[in-house]
Parts: sequence; structure tokens; C-alpha cells
Amino acid sequence: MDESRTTKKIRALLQEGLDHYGEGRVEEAERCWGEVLFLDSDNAEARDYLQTLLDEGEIPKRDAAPPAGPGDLVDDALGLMHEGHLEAALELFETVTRRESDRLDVQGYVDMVRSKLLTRYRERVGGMDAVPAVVMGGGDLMKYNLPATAGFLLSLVDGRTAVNDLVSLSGLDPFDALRTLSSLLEAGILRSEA
Amino acid sequence: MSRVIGIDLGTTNSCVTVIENGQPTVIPNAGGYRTTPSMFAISHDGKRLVGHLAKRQAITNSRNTVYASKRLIGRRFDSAEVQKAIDLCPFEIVRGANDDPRIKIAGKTFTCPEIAGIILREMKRVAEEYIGEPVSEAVITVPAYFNDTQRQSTKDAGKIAGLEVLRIINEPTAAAMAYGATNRSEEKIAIYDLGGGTFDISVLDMSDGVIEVLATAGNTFLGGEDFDRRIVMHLLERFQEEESIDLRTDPMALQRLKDAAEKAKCDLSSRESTEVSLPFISSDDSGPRHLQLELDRGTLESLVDDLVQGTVKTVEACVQDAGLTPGDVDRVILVGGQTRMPLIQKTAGEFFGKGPHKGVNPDEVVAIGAAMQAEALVSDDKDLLLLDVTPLSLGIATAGGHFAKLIERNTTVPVRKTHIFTTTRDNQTAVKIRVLQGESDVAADNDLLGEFVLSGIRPAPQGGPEIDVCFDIDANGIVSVSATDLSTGKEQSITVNATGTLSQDEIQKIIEEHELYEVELKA
Ligand SMILES: Nc1ncnc2c1ncn2[C@@H]1O[C@H](COP(=O)(O)OP(=O)(O)OP(=O)(O)O)[C@@H](O)[C@H]1O
Ligand SMILES: [Mg+2]
Repeated sequence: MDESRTTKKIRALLQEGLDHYGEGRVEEAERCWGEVLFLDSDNAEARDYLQTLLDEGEIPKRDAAPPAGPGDLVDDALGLMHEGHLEAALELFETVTRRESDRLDVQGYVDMVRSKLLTRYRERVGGMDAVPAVVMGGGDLMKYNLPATAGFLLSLVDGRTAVNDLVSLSGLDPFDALRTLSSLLEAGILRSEA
Repeated sequence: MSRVIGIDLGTTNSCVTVIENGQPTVIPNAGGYRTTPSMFAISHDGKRLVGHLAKRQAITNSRNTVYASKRLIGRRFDSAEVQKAIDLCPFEIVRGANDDPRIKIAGKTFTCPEIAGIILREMKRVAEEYIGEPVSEAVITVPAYFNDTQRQSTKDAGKIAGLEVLRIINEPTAAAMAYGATNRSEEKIAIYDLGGGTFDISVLDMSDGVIEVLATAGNTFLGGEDFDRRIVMHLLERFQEEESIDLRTDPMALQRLKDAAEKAKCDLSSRESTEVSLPFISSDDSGPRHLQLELDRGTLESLVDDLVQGTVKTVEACVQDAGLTPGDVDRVILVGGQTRMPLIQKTAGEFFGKGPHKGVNPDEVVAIGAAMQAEALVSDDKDLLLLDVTPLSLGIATAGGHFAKLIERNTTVPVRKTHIFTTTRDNQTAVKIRVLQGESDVAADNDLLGEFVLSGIRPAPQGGPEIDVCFDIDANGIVSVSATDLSTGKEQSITVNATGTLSQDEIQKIIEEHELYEVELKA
């Protein structure tokens, strides 16, 4: 029973991704399959689909070897950013700043994309004053493949504490905390009330 | 007329009460909890957190979370207590301008009365929210052994919180009142108080409306937190055995473990076994790991048995110190949340040969007594106004490093005593008076409450001038000393400038500063 609920959710996301993909909404497809990997980082099907996107050049190769020159990477990242693939763009920009710590221009893009994403996550969680509550517990929950920070954030959610305070309590980087909270909400593990 | 609240300002938790329809009532906070952690923190993003919010990040943000500051209040930086706290506490404790310990978190330094003031302000807020009108007066409890400086500092904390402290009363006295003690009671009561961070045992003798503290003992570094720590260690070990993962250096895991350990401990007070479930506590290459373990009451008892037996030794010594045998004690009262544990109730019952009195929640009983005392003060109900005694002798340092006791311990308060002093040299125009509190004949072994110089004495041969020094302990146990030069007939009054507490100016400054933060204080 637990089993079926989790797998159902994953199957639905996989299918939703395919529907988006079929109609050319690559970004949405990527989000759905990324979601699946958040819930189950070993999910072969999702990996496979995302690989297809990579191979088709729909999304950039991550840490592909040999690495493209920084110039290309920045161009790719800018392209992604303009198309709204913010998470992918961020990853590329950060790859550049990791390699070349003096690229202040790229650092600027990193900050910009992060702030855009932050807005997106904030919207997804229903605003900083929204109060999330845990919907799914016990066996259902354990079917997922969540990172320990997600487990920690979940333990702070008590149905009374607003997003804003959860971020403070967690001590995590607000960006990471909001990203995780928004993924937990998308996955239906949390629900949020304004 | 505005309502007077009672506050048990505990080491671990605080509890606020008010008389409602003639009944003392515990006021729950916004989260529905009847006690509020006495914790204050500044979060990574600069927010000031009080109570439960502070507790929920106490381990992940341990350097910036203050707990158990009651152990420090009114003490000197060099005292053994403060030094021990420095060894044990993850937050920074620094020496203050008055040789008092101060707490430094997130780059800002706080005095101990300031921290206590933040907690009291939170309790005041909880009360105001419930009552629906402003509250400005309170009765606050302190341990029976608190000396003048500690009491004065607690009063200062009240002032910082915007509360006029009508009376400071002893915790065991408050507990006895909550169990119906009146000034007609004639009995000997043992009060076994095991809270979150401290253990106190007091033996009281009630007669003629006076509550005499026959003896007190305890351990300011023993409490429910130690029980929690044993459970955490146990869980860590079992998890490591099963999963080969060591969580000891993972603050996020430790925070969850500590919270779960306390919860399991509380569960086991009412059931035989409980499950500890911490999903996604960790992960490694092969995926996420969950901590899922069963804990039963027997295991818990074996984990903490030595702690419980340790309290029995202290109780034994205290009863003996009171000049009694366990059988002489008429009543046993349990105080402190940790005494909800069946093993503690059984152990105390066996020692005294009689079951403890029940009916009032042990973590609320002190606050209930405080509300009753508040009511008695306001309505001037003489039946309920119990008189405390001074827990420590009061006197001055004399030549040769001796201590001259002027008011003996266990003297009923309020009390006033005068003594004539004189000069030790010819033409001496000033004398220095060092006011001490404690039981040792050696001046240096007692607590220095303050010192002052009386000057302007008319030059005269040695032993000529007569200086009348008046020692006064009020109903709160707070000391003031004044001196009059009888040889000039001119009265000079000097009040002890207690060390380690704040001047009126300092208090005012703190109050103004805290008003800036008021909107940020949360439940
Ligand atoms: N049901 C229960 N079973 C066992 N322990 C409990 C229970 N409820 C609360 N406690 C423990 O009681 C302790 C808190 O007690 P209390 O609220 O009386 O603290 P306190 O007065 O601030 O203590 P102190 O000042 O002595 O340190 C905590 O360790 C808590 O875990
Ligand atoms: Mg207590």
C-alpha cells in the first residue's frame, strides 16, 4: 500500500515529464524528472530521460569531459538562463566560478540566477509567511530517497512554524533551505497554508 | 486593577500563572505548552529567538544559544559554578565590568539579568496574550539557597522585563503553598526537586506561619538533560552498531536525536515502551538511512540508575543535616518535570517510607505557589502570607580576615539588626565595611555582597566614635545596610552596592535597548 503510493507519485511524475517533452516543453519535463530523482536518486528511468535531454543538447552536459572552454560554458549558461532553465544555468555558472575564482562577471550571473530561483522557490512554498505541515509520514515517506538535510528540515516542520522561521531555525543557507522545502512541497510530502 | 502573575523562572523551563476565578491557573504559551524553555538565541540570520524556537536550534546553533543562565546569575566570574559552566557550555562566558559573568553570542555581550529579563519578558507576553490586558506586577521564585546578589539580580531582571517584582519567594516554599500549606500548618516537609538542569532537596519545618529551611542540598549540574544525554549516547551506539555510521559529529542529526530522546523519555513515564523514529537521519553511498529503534522503560532505567542513586545520597545527607531521620518527615513533595519518571517516584517513596504527594503537576507546582502568594499579597490574606527565613548568615569582615555574623541563617525575614562599630586608629576619619553572606568563619570563604566606606568621621582617639550600622533583610531576602555616625549625631545612610548586579543606569540602558527588539521576541 505504502509502496504503491510512492511509486504512483513517481510514475505520475515520469509520465508528466513525458507529456511535457512530447509537446516541446523541455524545461517542464526536466523539472518533473529532476523531481523524481529528488524522491529517488537511483531512479533509472528518470536518469535515462534526463540523459536523453543531455544527448539531444536540450540541457547542457554536466561536468562533461573534456570540459568546454569557459567562454562556451558562459555562453551556454546565458542561453539557458534566458530560456528560463535557471537550475541548469546556475550549475554551469557555478562550474565556471569554481574553475576561475576571479570571474566577477560570472559571479554576478550566479547571484542573479540564485536570486531568481529564490523568488521561484518562495512562490512555490507559498511565501515566507506560509506555514507548512507534514502530510506524509512513516512508511510512505521512507520509500523516498531524501538527503539528510531534507530529513532535518522535515523534523523542524510542526505545522505552526512559518517558512521564514524554519529557514532561521535550520541554520542552512536560505537558498538551500528553500530549495529543499519547495521540493518537499512539490513532492506532496508537505503542504503549505498561507 | 491589573492582575499579578506568578513566575517560576527555572534553569531549564519557566512557567507563568495567574489566579483565575479564585483558582491558580497555568498559562499556556501560543504553542499550547504550559512551560517555556528558558532559552535565548540569535539565529544565523540575526533573529532573536526565545523559548521553544531557541530550543529547536540549540544544538545546530549551540554557540549562539544561551541556556541554564540561572546557574550564572548573581555569581562572581571566579566562582566554581561559573568556571564549571565555562567548561561545559558551548556559548562564550566572559568577565564583566563588575566581575560578573556575561554571555557573548553573535558578537554581542549580555549580562545575566538581561538574559533572565528576556525570558521574563516572554513570560509576561504569554500572560498578557492570555489575560488580554497589560501585566506589570509579578511574584518570582528563586532557589532557597540564593544569596542576596542572586535575588537582587533576579529583581533587576524583572525590571528589565518591565515587571515590578512584588516579592521574591523560595521555590520550596512556593511548592509547599501549592500543596495547601498555610500559616497554621505544623509539619516537616521534604521537597525533592529534579528539573531539567538542577537537583535540589530541601527540608522545611513549618510552624507558627514561618517556613524554616532546615537544610538544603543539591547539584546545580544534574537534571533531566543528563537523562536525555544518556539516551542520546545509547541511540548513537545502537545506530552505529547497526549501520556503521557515527552521528556524533553531525549537528543536524544530534539535534534530532536530542529532541527525540527527550520525547522518548517523557513517553516512557506513562508507557512501557516507545519507538524512536528518525527518517533520513543520514545517508551514504548506498542511500538514505533511518534511525528506527524501540526503547523500553527498563532500558531507560538502567541507563540512568546511577544518576537517580546519586540523588538519594544527597537526600540522605540533607535529611541528616536537618537533624532528622527519613521517618520524621511528614510529607514528601516532588517538584520538577523529571520527577514524573516512575523510577524517581518509587525511589523517593522508598527512601522516606511514604508515597509522595500528588495532585499538582511537578513542573507547575512552583509557579502555582507563586500565583497563590501573589494573590495573598494583593488581597492581604494573612493566612497565606508565609514567612521565609534567610538561607545564609549575614555579617561583616573584621580585622584578621574573620567573619562576624550579625544575622544568623534561618532567621525569619524581614529582619533588621543594628550594631555599633568604632575606629581602630587615632584620628581615623573613615571606615570600610565589607558585607558578607555565608557560613564560614573565614571572611574570604563567604560571598562578598558589597563594601562601602563611611567617611567624614570626626577625628577622635581610637575607639571613640560610635558608628551605628544597620543590617536589613526584607521579605524578599534582599539585604541593605546603612550606617550612621552617632558621634556627630548626623545620620549617613549608605546602601550596599551589591557587586555583580547592575546599577540603575545600566538597567535603564538595557531596558531602552531591548525595546528596539520587542517585535522580534517570539514564542
Ligand atoms: N513526563 C515526563 N517524564 C520525564 N521527564 C519529564 C517529563 N516531562 C518533563 N520532563 C523533564 O523535566 C525536565 C524539565 O523540568 P522543569 O520544567 O521542572 O525544569 P526547571 O524547573 O527549569 O528545572 P531546573 O530549574 O531544576 O533545572 C526536562 O528535562 C524534561 O525532559
Ligand atoms: Mg524548577
